[in-house]
Amino acid sequence: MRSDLPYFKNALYTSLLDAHRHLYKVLQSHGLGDRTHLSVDVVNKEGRVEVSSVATELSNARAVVASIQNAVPPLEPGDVVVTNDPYSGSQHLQDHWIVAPVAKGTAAGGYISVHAHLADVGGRNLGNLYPGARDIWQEGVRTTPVRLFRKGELDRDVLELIKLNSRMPLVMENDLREMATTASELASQVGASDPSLLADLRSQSKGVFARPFDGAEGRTTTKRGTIHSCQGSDATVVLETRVENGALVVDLTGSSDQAEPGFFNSTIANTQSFLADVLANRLSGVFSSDVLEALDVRAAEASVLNCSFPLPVGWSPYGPRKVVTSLFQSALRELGIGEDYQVFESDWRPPVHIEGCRETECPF
Amino acid sequence: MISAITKQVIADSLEAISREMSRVVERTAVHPLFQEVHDYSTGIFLFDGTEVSLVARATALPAHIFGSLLAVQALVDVFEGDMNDGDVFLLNDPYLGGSHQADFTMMRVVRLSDSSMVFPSVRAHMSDFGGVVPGGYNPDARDVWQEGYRIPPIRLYEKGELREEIWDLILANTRLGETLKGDLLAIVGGCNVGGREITRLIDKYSADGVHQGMSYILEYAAARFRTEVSRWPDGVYRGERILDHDSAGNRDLKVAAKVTVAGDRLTIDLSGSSPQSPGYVSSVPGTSISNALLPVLAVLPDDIPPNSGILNQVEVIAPEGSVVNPLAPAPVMFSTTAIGYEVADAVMKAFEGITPERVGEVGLGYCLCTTFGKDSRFDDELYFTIEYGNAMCSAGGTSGTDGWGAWPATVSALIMATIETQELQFPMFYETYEYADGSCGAGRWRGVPSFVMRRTVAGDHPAFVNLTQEGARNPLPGYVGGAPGATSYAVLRPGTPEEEVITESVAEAELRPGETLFTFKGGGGGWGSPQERDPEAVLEDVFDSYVSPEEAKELYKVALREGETGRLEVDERATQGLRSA
Repeated sequence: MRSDLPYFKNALYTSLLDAHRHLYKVLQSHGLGDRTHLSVDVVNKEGRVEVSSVATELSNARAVVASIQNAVPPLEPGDVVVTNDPYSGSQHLQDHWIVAPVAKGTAAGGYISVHAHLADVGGRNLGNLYPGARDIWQEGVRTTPVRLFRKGELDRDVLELIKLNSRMPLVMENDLREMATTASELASQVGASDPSLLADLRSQSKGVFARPFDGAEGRTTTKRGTIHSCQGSDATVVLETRVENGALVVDLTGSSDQAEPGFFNSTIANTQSFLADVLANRLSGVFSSDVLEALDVRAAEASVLNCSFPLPVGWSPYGPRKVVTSLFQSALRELGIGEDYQVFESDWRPPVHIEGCRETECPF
Repeated sequence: MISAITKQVIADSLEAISREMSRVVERTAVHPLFQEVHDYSTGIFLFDGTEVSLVARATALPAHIFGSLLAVQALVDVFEGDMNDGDVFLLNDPYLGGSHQADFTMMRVVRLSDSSMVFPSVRAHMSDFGGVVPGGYNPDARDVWQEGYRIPPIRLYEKGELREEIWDLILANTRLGETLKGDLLAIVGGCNVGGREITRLIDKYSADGVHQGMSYILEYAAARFRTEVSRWPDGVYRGERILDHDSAGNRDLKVAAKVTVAGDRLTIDLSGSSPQSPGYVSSVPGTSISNALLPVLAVLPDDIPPNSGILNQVEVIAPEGSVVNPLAPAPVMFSTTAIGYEVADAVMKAFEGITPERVGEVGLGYCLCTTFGKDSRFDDELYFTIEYGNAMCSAGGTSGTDGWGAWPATVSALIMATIETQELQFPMFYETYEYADGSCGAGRWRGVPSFVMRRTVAGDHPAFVNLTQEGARNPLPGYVGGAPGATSYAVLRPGTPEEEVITESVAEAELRPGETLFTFKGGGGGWGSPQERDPEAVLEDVFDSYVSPEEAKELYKVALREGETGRLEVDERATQGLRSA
């Protein structure tokens, strides 16, 4: 993330970063070592991500808001919705999304969404990573979009359901309440903000993505990678990137079928987010839906990068993300699109062995 | 004040309403576990402002309906002061009023006054509720989260309006969404019909009148109970039952029961039972207490209504941290049967010294077989079923009656699904489903024979089988000198090079199409000495192949010979010689 970019001077964006930093400090279950386990987003009422604090979950933020619009009545002031469901937009069950409405009639309208990787949601293993999973329920409990607060009143039943289904209920309660408070406060702040701030961000975003791929028109490159499977066969990723009529096409249709068992399947929202993360950072663009709209992602249904309900997806933000982003970085570098960027997120962690891996030295 | 006759009419009306609720549930449920096997119970509970009472019930499994007392209590603990007519509540959590997550308890509120309420309730076994293994029975579970979705007491309907987001949340945590939806609607229907009929009763007799009717039947049962107990000899009586294993490598788990009769008071103390287990057998208080009360009800005269009038008279002590009262988050899924029925058997053993002519098998010696997979006949749809062919038979002999049917009377609300239904709904082909030869627990009144099943996987996909076999070392006991039942076991792929004999547990064993599961479930124990059995009854058992001529001679001391027509008959003189030797 380059802090010298112009939008870092935008007060609306800095509010998001402040909220992001606040949550990073106070959430108790946020223990996985880097800031990408969190995001704070402004999403408009049509579901467009206006701006996000990080680029790692852009498509997920869009998908979560769309699911909420389908599943829950129109949000009122004081309402707060929670979901962790990968088939409602979340990257995996550990990620909890909190969505609060921005007051109607304000410049932003829409929603504030906050997501964080929380401690535990039941299932077979503490922490919800299970290489032998054949379906999503073996990984943990699904919380489909549901109002946690209604007009400012906590829905006790929803909170108790979430707590009871976690091995770390008090941590979950603390974190969800903190996320809800942060989202609600930010919703008020954004609602009251100067409309020109949002207009400025939109303008910067549109500017970056006006004609970013002109230099690569007609060029194609294909990259191949492998996603390690702890149980069963490894999955192949075939990533063909080409610029076609000014659009960036990422064709993943040659990749493996979805795996069962296999906790490394990815939903299409996840795959789009992985790709958008790379593109946004290489172009130094505002982290917004413009990045998603600049991408034409093609992945076969029921494939490892566009899996179907109810396949497990617990490892998706790790192994598959790393493979996809690495291949896409390489492809864009070859096509001369954007610039390499430094990844500040920590890629280091102590050696781990995931229970159930077929290999003694699990590459994870 | 209303008359005693009117009070009895009200009490009988509540029983009738319970039965009507039961019919609604039975006729509208979806999964065969539910609508065919009847793994559900309906009842009506009263909260009078201070305590919760079971007033009436129908089609009830004791572990369900007595355990539901704690469910209603848990509901009142959370929501008292915030419950309205038309509210419907749901829970399944074993540590918050439930038994195991499979049993969903739904309760509707009908207010009698500011402080008192009536709850028509249904507890029913649901087919799937997420978790690691379809159906929830996970022999490898080491905590309760590995068994399935946990539901604390929550409000599902608010003043008659469905809370749709909560409904969706529950349905998101099952693999069988359409099935669970249908089954939940069935129990909602049962509760709603109960609520409607209770409201009509209130309209007819007034809220106070209905309350009086309820109090009357509770007091009647309590008085009858005290009279019976006061006839029993004072003293301390002990019983014990051992469970083979907990599926986690621990063996011989003990349930110890000390029953104390003092005047018209009865205490059942389960102290001395094994510590709670890492495996999925530890039994929460709702299950343990229900099963401790089961033998009490079994030895009482049949005409005493089994309501809280009785239950409140019995003090049950279940020490915390034991296999009969585990601390969360111990897994519990298998405990409704084992250790649950081990509690019942241990208490019944103690009753041998109190009412020997009324004792007999109450337990199941339960062996579990669940199966799941994809059914190629129905677009590879996921299926899940409990195989009761590996669970029956267990009825023991009692004074005056041989073990009959499949399960003891205490569990006879359960009905076996037909083979035809099983084969229609699940990709299986049954080759054998019958009593085993030569396998009865011997006694003056013998136990029901053991049961054998041979089932082959049909369709194009493998079937995954979870088996937990109990009773390989500790079969169902006999009573008053009767012999125990036979031991149980199962065989995967019998007669093939991959044959595997199971005497404890196996999780997610894969059986390919055409492969077979064989199970042998030991039957019930006998009652009384086999040498006191009528020789002609032994001869009939030989004709039925329940007893071989050799067993007749060895166990029953009955000599048989070929008669003039070539037909076997009792050799009375030789028999007399054998029995007097």
